[in-house]
Amino acid sequence: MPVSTDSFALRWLQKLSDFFANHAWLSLFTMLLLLGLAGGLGKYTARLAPHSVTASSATTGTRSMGGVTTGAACGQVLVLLEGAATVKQVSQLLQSVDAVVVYGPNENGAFELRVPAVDARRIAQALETSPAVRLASVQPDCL
Amino acid sequence: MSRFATLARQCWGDGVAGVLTAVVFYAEYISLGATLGGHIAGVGKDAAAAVGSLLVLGAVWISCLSALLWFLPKPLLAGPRTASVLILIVGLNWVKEHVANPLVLPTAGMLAMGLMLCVAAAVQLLGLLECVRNWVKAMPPAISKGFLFMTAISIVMGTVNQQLGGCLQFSFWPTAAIFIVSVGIACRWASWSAAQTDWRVSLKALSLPVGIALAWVGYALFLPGASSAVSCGTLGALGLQLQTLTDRIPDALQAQAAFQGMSMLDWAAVAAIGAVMGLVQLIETLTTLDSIASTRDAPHLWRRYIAATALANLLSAPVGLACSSWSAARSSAVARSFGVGRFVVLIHTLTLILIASLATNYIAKLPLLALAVALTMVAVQMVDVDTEEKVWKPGYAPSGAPANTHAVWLFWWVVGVGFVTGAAIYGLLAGAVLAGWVAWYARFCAKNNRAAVHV
Repeated sequence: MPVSTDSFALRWLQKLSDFFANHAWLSLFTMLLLLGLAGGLGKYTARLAPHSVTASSATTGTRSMGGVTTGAACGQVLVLLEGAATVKQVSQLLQSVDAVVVYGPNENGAFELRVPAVDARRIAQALETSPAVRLASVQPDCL
Repeated sequence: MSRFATLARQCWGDGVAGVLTAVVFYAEYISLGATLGGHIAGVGKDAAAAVGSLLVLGAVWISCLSALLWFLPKPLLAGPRTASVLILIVGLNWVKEHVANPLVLPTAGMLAMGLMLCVAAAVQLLGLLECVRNWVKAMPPAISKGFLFMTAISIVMGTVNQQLGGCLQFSFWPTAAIFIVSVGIACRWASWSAAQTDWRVSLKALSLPVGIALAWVGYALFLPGASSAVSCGTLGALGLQLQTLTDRIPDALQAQAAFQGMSMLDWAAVAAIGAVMGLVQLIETLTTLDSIASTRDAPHLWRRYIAATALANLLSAPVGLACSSWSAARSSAVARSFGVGRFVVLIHTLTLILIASLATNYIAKLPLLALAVALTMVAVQMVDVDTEEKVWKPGYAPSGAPANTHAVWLFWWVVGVGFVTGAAIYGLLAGAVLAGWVAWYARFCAKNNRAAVHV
């Protein structure tokens, strides 16, 4: 005897609805964890993605220090500090723009900063206005 | 028994209740602090938990002080609640995205927190009007419960992204196993303890420390190298220095520069977020007053309870502390511990100060993995009985009335919009707009004798 697709689907939906009604807390708890874990892992993957090294910027992604290859992340902003800048000034400056030093000083005495991905250009411009910074620029390969 | 003996006995009971509740809920305060601290600009990652915890504990102290000032008869506990703290974070993130010069971001964030707290206090004061109170209480439960559910999802998402994320990167499967097992056992503890009424301590509230303890043990046993990893390390320095608060107060020049760092429209948006936060705090307060039944004991006192939290927010604004509202869970834990007088609030505050000053070195060793479990338990506890009984069960019941089914749709609409936009506050607004439109359409249909949808 042929079974209507509609009635089959409706029957399953009815069963699902009954399950939700009879196991309310379990359903809510499962939904909460599933949506939370899915959304969180998605955000986490997206957060890591901008800092991953692409093929075109592979040279900036890994560095060789004394024969040892390091896996330092690519810093989007390059800063050259003033000689008179104090540690406190530099710390406050980095914290104010949510930046971390990922490499440096390099052969020119500059530091590479990792900053929130969307703000790199704006942060580089802002850093240049600080008295503790001599020069700040973005590294296009790391954006 | 002499009057003195009775008084001494009551004070002893209140003292024990104050200490017990402070110990039980300290984990929740620290978890909320770590969440808030991660979004405060100008604070390094190593100090984020310390600053956030200080802001949360400061808000608890201020709200308890405010409760004492108003001579409130029932020993209810107030302080930062998860939903309103997350809205505060939405405001801080708005500032981060819209400030023109990132160098003024810390001061702009501080000013935004102050502005949001002042606006929230004003909205709470509006709640003193009977009509506003009735309007808030008439809000369909599907909206408020959908908002709370989405807030809980946001907490889990944030936890997975931040605290758990680093540990997953360090060692995926052991971390995932410890997390799931700890949360599962803590939830089982919560459901088992809900039926236990013979204990003086609220066993259900202990599910948070139980989850933390399990995760901590699992971390020590199965992730031995994790302590050296920065991303999967510990909570970090928790030195709660009051100077941090005074340092946050900007001088005139800094305030002017920060104020000019955003357009007036952006500041208006921050104020609007503060207004929504005030509305949510009002809902939290009214829900607490209803569940604790203090309004039934003394109907004229509800205004003093609302005014007390508004005052706490106003006092918190100058130093940018977290927001405060009455908490049903914490207040019922006081009642469970036989706390009956105002003394319990004072002891609760003093115990928190004592723990903050003596135990910070030990709490600083709390693994981020355990913090992730604690935050997830905070999220799970937000799914309350009302969500099940008023929205979920009636909506999915086989003989569910159309109005109940529509309530579930509205619930999922709020959750869906919040999930897609990434902020529960947008879900709340979308739910309010939809419910308002449906209410208007129902009135329109009633006037024209047509069938309408009821929510």
